[in-house]
Amino acid sequence: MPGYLRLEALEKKFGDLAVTRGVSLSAEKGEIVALLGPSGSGKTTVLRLVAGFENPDAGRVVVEGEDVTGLPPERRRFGMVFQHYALFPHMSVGENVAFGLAGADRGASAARVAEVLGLTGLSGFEPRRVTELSGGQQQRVAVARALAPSPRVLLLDEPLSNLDPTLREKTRRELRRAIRKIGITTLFVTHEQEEAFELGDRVAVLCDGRLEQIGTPEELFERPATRFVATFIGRSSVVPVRWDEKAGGARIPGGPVWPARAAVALADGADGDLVARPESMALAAASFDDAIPATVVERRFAGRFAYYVLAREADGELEVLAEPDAAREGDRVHVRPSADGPIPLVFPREPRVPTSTLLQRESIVVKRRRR
Amino acid sequence: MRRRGIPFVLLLLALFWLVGYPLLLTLAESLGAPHWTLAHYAEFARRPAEWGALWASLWISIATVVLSAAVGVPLAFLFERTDFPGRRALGTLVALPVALPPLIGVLAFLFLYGESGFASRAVQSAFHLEHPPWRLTGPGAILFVHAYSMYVYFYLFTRAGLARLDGAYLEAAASLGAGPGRTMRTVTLPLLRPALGGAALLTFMTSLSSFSAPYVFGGSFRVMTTQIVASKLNGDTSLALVETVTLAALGFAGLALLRRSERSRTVAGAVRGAAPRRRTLRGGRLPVAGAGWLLAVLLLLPHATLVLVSFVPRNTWTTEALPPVLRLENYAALVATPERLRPIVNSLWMASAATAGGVLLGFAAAYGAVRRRGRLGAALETLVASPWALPGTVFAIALAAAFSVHAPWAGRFVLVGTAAILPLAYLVRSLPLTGRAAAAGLRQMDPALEEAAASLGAGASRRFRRVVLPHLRPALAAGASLAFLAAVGDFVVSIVLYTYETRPISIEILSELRIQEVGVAAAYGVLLTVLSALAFVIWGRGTERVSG
Repeated sequence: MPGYLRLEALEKKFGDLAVTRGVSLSAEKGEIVALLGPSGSGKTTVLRLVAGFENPDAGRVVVEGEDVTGLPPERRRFGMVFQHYALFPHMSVGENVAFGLAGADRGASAARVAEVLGLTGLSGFEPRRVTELSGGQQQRVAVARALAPSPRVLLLDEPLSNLDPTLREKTRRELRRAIRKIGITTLFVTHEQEEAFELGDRVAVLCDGRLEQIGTPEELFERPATRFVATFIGRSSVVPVRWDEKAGGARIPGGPVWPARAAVALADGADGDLVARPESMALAAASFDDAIPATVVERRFAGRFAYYVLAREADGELEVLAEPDAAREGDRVHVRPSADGPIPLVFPREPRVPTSTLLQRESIVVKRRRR
Repeated sequence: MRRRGIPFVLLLLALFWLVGYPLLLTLAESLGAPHWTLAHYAEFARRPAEWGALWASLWISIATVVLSAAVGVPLAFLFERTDFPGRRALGTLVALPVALPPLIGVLAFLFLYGESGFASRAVQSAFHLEHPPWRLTGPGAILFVHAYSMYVYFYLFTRAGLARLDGAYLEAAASLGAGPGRTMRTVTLPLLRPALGGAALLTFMTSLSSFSAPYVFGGSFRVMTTQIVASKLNGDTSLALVETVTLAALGFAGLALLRRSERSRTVAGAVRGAAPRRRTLRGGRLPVAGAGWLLAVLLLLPHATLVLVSFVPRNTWTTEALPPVLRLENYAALVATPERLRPIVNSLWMASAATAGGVLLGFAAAYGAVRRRGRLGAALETLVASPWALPGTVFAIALAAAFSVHAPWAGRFVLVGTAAILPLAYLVRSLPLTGRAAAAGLRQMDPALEEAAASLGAGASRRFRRVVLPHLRPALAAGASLAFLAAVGDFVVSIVLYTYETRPISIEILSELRIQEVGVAAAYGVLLTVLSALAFVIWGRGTERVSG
C-alpha cells in the first residue's frame, strides 16, 4: 500500500471496549483527510494513535516509509492542534509558537515564528498574552505553533468546534488555504459533515471503531458503501423492504415496488433497508399505483423547497422534498419515487443498535480519556 | 435594601471589637499609650536575644518551606501521576498529619524519636549503648517536626494542581518535540506555580506561627512565638507586646511579599480538558508500591507510637525495647478523678461554644460581604480573614491586653481569668475558617435561586430558611468541623490565656508530662486525635457535597 502516511490495521481497546477496530487508511503527500463520525465512533482515538498519545494494541503507523508506531510523540515530528488549543497560558504568543523550535538559534527561531504567524494572519502578535486573544485568534496561534517546526504531518482534533458558527465558516476557509499553501499532509477529526466535505480531499467515515468507507465527498454521497454511510451522509429515510429480483426493485411490504439499486448483491426476497434521500421521493396523487399513503407531521420551509416529514401508516417516517405549498401539516398525502431524483439504494437489513449502547460506549470512551 | 444597613453596621462593629480592636490596643500599648514612647522598642532592639529569636523565626520558616516542598512535591507527583496497588488509601493517609493538632504531632514525635522514645530505645538496646543515641532538641528537631507535618500543604496543593492540569498541555509539548524533562521544566512546573506559591505561603505562615514544636523541642533555642510567651510568663508585659507587634509585622510582610509575587505571575490557566492519564507502572510497579507503603508506615509511625504508649501503665516500661505490659489503666485514669475529667469537659464545651459562635458570626460576615460587596464588604472580609494571617500567639497576647482592663466606656472588660476568654479566643481564631467556608458556599450559589424563590412569592426570611440555609448546610458543616478541630486541639492560645479552672486538654497533656505521667498524656493525646479525626471526617463529607 503506497501513501505518504499509512495507518495499518490499528486496533485499540480501553478495557473490554474496542474503540478502534482494524482501521487502515493512507494519505498522499499534501492530502487532507477528514475523519468523520458520530461521537464515540473512535475518530479521536485514531488521531491520538497517529500522534502517539496512545499506543495501539495492534497495527502500525508509517510515515515516509518509516514505522513510527513505537516512537514517543516528541520524536514523531507530527504537529497537533488540540480541540481546546492547549496554548501554554504562561507564555506569550511568540513563546508558544517558538516552543517547538528548541535548538534553533534565536534569530532563526524568531524569523520562523514571524513567518508562520504571518501565514495564519497574526503578524506582530508575538508579545501578546494568549489569554488576551479571542477564540479565533487562539485557534490560529495553535495552528501556527503546530506548523512552526515544519512537521511531517499535521493533526487537528475538532479544530473549529470551539468557534461560533459565523466565525467557523471563515476560519475553515482560511485554514484550508494555509494548509494548501504549505502542502502538508493533514489528518483532522470532525463530527460535522459540512466541515469534512469542505476541508477534506477525502473523507474517512468511522462508526463503532470501524472504518466504514473512505472516499471523496462525491463518492460518499453518490456511492455510499454501507447503510451507515448512506444514512449518516446527508439526510435519508430508511424504509424496510424486500428485494424483488424480478421487478428489479424494492417491494414495500403490503405495497408497491419502488425502483432501487442493490448496494451489495441481494438474494431475491431478502429483507433489506431502502435508504432514500428527500429528493428521491415526491408527493403525488393517489391514482399512481406506486404511491403509498402517509400523513404530514412536520413541514420545514427551506426557500425554493420545503421538507415534509411524513408518518407512514405502517410505521416509520419519511422525509420528502417538495414545493413549499405542496401540503400542510396534518394533510393526508401520497408518496412515490421521484422521476428525476437519484435512485435509492437497498442495503441488507441490519439489526438496529439501541441508542443506549451507543451512549454507553461514548461515556466509556470519554471517561477513559479523563482518567 | 436600606433596612439591612443597621444590622450590617452592628456586625461590622462586633467584628471590629473582636478582631481589630485588640490588635490596635496591642500596638498602642506597645507604644506606651497613653504616655506615648518608643522606649519599649528601644529596649527590644538592644537585646541580642530578641534579634536572635526574630532571625530564628525567619530562617526556620524559610527552611521549613524548602524541606516541606522537597518532601511534598515529589510525593504528590508519585500519587497523582502513577498508579500502584493501594494508591488511593495511601494517598489519603499521607495527608493525615494536617488533620491533627500540632501538639499531638509533637507529642507523637517525642514518644517515637525523643531521648526515651521508641526509636532511640530500639537503637540503644540494639547496639547496647550506655546513653540514648541522640537528643531531639534544638532547631534541627523543630525543622524535623515542621517538615513532617507541613509537607502536607505542598502535597495537597500540588496534587490538586496536577489534577486540574489539562493533559493537552503535556501532549502539546510532546507533539512539539519536548521530552519529559523539558516538559516538566517549561510547562508543568510553571503551570503549577500558583499551587506551589499557595503551598509556600501557607507553610511559611504556619511555620511562623508554630508554637508547639519550638516550645517542646526548642530548649534554649527561641523563636518569636516562644519568646513572646516567655516574656509574658516572666511578667515582662511591655516587651511581650513589642515582640507581638514585631511578629505580626513579620507575618504581614511575609504575606504581602508572597501575595505580590503571586499577583505578578497570575496565570489564567483556563482548564477545560482532562488531566493526563495515570501511568500504570509496569516494571517499577512493585518497588514504587513498596516505597509508597514504607513511606506511609514511616509517616504514621509516630501516631502508632502515641497509641502504644497510651496503653503502657506507669513505671512498667523501663529498659525493654517493647513495653512488657499493656493495659487500659491510663484511659480509666482520665475519667476516674474530677481533676483529670475536667480538661476534657473544658475542651469540649469551650470548643463547641466557640464553634457555634464562630459559625454564626462567620456566616453573618460572609453573607454581608458577599451580598454587599463594595468597600464595607471588603472591610468585613479583611476583618474575618486577618486572624488567619496572624500567628495565634499574637491574638492571644492581643486579647490578653485588651480584656484585662475594666473600662466599659472603651469596650473593655476584664475577661482574662474568667471562663469566657478561651472560648472567645477560639472563636476569633475560627472566624477565617467558618467565614471562608460560608463565603465559598455563598459564592457558588446561583443568585437566580434566591430570585426564583422571590418570584414565587417567598419573603426574605422564608428565602433564607428554605433556600439559602439548606444550600449552605454542607459548607457550614465543613467550616464548623474545621473550627472545632482547631479549637479542641488548641495549645498556642490556651497557654497564654488558661486558668487552672479552664485548662483544656492540651495544657493538661503538658502538666502530665511534667509529672512523668507519660501514659496518661498519651491517652489524652489519643482522645484528641479521635476527636480531630471525627471532625475531619465530617469536614470531608461537607466539602464533598459542596464541590459535588
